[in-house]
Amino acid sequence: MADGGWRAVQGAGVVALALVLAACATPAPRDAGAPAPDATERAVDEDPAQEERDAPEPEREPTPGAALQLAQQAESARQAGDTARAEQRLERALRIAPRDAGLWHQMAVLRLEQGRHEQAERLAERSLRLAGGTDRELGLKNWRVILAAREALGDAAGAEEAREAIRRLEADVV
Amino acid sequence: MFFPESPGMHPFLLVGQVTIAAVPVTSPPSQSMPRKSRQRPRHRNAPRRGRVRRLLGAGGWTLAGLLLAAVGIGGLYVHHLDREIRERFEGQRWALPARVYARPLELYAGRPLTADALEMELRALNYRETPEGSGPGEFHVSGGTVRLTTRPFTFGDGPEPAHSVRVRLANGRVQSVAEQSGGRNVDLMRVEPLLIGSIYPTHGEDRILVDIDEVPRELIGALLAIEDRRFMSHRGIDPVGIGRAAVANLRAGRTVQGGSTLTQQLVKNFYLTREQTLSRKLNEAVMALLLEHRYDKREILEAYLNEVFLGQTGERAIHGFGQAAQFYYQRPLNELRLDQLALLVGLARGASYYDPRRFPERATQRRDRVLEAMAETGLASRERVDRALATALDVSPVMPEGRSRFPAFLDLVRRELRADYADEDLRSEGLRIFTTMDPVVQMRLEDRLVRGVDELVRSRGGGSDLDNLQAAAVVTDPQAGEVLGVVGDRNPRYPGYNRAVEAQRQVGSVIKPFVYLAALTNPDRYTLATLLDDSPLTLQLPHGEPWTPRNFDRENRGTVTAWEALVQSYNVATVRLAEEIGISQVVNLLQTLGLQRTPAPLPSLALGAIELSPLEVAGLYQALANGGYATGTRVIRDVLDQNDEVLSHYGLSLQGAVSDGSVRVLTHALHDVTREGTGRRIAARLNGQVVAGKTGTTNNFRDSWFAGFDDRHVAVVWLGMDDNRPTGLTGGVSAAPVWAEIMAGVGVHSLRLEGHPGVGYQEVDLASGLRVENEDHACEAVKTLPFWQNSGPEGRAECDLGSDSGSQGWFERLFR
Repeated sequence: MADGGWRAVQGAGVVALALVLAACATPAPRDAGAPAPDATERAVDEDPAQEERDAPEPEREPTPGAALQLAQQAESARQAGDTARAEQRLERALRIAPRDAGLWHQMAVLRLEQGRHEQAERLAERSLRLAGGTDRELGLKNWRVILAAREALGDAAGAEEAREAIRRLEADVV
Repeated sequence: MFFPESPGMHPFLLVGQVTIAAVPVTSPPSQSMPRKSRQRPRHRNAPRRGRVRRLLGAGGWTLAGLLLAAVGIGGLYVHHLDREIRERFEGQRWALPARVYARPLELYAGRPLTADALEMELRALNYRETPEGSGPGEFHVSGGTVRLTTRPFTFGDGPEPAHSVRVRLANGRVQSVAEQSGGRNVDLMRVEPLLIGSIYPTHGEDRILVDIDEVPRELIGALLAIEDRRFMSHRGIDPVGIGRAAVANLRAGRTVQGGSTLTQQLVKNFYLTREQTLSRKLNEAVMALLLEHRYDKREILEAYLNEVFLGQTGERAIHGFGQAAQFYYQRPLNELRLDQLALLVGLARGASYYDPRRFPERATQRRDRVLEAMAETGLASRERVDRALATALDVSPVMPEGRSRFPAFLDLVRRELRADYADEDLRSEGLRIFTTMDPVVQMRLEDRLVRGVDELVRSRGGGSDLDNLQAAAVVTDPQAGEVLGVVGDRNPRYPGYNRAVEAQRQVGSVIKPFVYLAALTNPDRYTLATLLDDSPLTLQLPHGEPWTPRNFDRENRGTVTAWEALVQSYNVATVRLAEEIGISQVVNLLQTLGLQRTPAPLPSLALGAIELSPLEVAGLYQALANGGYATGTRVIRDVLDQNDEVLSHYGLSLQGAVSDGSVRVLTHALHDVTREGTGRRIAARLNGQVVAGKTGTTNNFRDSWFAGFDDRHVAVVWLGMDDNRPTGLTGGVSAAPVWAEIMAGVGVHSLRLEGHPGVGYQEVDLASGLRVENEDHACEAVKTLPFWQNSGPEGRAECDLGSDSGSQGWFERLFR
């Protein structure tokens, strides 16, 4: 996995989000006066037309640079074989940005490497949920973790489901 | 006969007769002394045997035999003492308490933090406010900018160096962190963590080990100057010193000076009782000689610095200068001023007699004598000494208690540790335990809980029947599953029964969200608009008795939406719902979300006929707050040994999960609880910030609960009597306002309810549970409800159709 790819993943997430959700039903605001998260900090360089298509705001705040830095340190530690340190750094990152789908995916990869397959599967699922089906690339990576975990756990039906999900995402040309 | 060998120059110290500058200014060997020095054992009794032989030649056989026996015994005696010394010195010398730390404060741009909270944390760490904030342990606040300088610290994932930074705060967040000199940006840093408690050895000795190289040389110099000027040259005992002391004592007519060397004092502290007998003195002298024979001055001095008794509080005995610096000044030894060092040195002679807190005058006199000795011996310049003499005693007035300030949290930590560590190891191995406590959350939780409960009791007329009202509360971080704060008593300092963890109380309606969640996970059948029957109900329980659940106000309302039944906490409708989906489904869900036991699947479970601790309730609510995951309630992150090796890491783990769409729908309803339901007092207190939660009141008002969450915290409050007497308080009027008070203190981060891709919204007629599309409908009560997976009602309400002639309705139908 490319070091420092997380920023790219998140950037891509915003684009994918707009594209995918443009086709989805959009929820109406529930109550007048519900707080609208300010959109000034993200996605400014997007096609302005997308704004009008009323994509729901991503649920998370922008991930602080500190969390991304910790994630990079974790990745370096993991590549150096120091999974204990990688784990600690990632946990720090997640405490800072608990809704960053990329960080949860990274944790899933680490758990897979540690042989903790059940955790790897759950963490990848959590990453999928947080990404909300808006990030195809991240979705693919998460499903691959899930596939590997389920295969290791001997969950044949689950693994098949994961393969199916991967095929669908791969076929889905964005 | 006490000096069998010629005293050689000690390699590590410049030996002079009186020169105190003989302290390790120049210490050639660069590597630090090994702790366990292995010096060649020598036979100490050899010269004695020679003397015995001489005596043999001169005396008779009987006498000789007696003497031989005596010498044999003497040899055994010396051998025995020698072994004792080696065991003491070469094994682990001290039982060190385990230290328990709060989580370290992480500083980075974007972090939610106020200047107030930062200052609170720094003050808890005993940082001093100075104009610059540039020295270690110092800070300065001006407006939204806080300057501070941290101390280096080693964590489980490596060392954190000291930082001297300027932190800019605005709008509840850290805007930037930059170095004080140069202004370079600091991406991420940690402040050293707050020590929240220690687990002491059974004998109560508390110490922080110091390496001799970390000890300020003025301290060592002053110690030798005042206690043992000939330390560098004597061999364990000092006849010259004894003689001088004897003369001084004779002259004064009482004991004014001791002739004991530091070595003797160390032995006294180390091995022996305080009784004053001749045999004890003899033991002491022999052991001092043995000690000097086996170990070098440097090691003996280091042992002394760590062993000497310097204070007492309750059962906790302060040993060594490292701990004494914290005990009297709440700072590390290397940050103390000259006058402070002198005071500590003065205490070595008699820590209780010169106790600066109880006898400040005596302590000052003693300190000044030490300072004078420092001037005399040239250890410090006259001006420095004069300045120090002019400084008032500034011993910290608060005597840091041996007991923790946070007994409930520490109790929880010890419970968790007990699973993996033997008590003896916790008391002696010097472990460092890093916990999840957020000191600011903890302190604010304590403050607001006490304030809220006192206010409640006062508003109830302060009736004596509420005097014994008890309280417990827990705040956690639901994303990581970490406990941030715990209070187990209305007096948060009271180290007794920890109700937050130990109390098993009926939870009442606090359980209801899980009944509704069990239903909502099946959106094809259940939504918030599903009509439930709230008419009177009697069930046959498995063991034959009939059971008739009643609503709180004893009214029944016919059919109501699930939304209303939950928000207004109707019992009968909830029991019917639970019966319909199967109470075992509710049990399954609770277990998926982390419940560690199997309650009997009785219908009364739907109304909270289950006893849980506030901590367990918080664990269950975490899943509601984090999108459906059971994450456990962790209190420990890492356990490190004395060498900073990680012994245990308690990592993030996800246990069960339920669908986040159903959780989101439920959260909407729980938010409405805090606005228009049983917890509506909360919305007023929190000025419309978005939170969610549920009240709970048990039979006859025995327990009042509120459990809820915002975007970053889960908080659970319980109020009740230990003896289970009724309080007359409902969760809505008592626990809910206290909860709101706590959340206001901790700082609310509003929930973001909208934005889930699978959840849409639809206006619903609350009487029929059917959709409303016209703006000018004739329905009495209409509510916009969330629906997961397009599960909104298909049919349109009567009251909506009646006025269905407007173009909007036609237009909408065209596109449906």
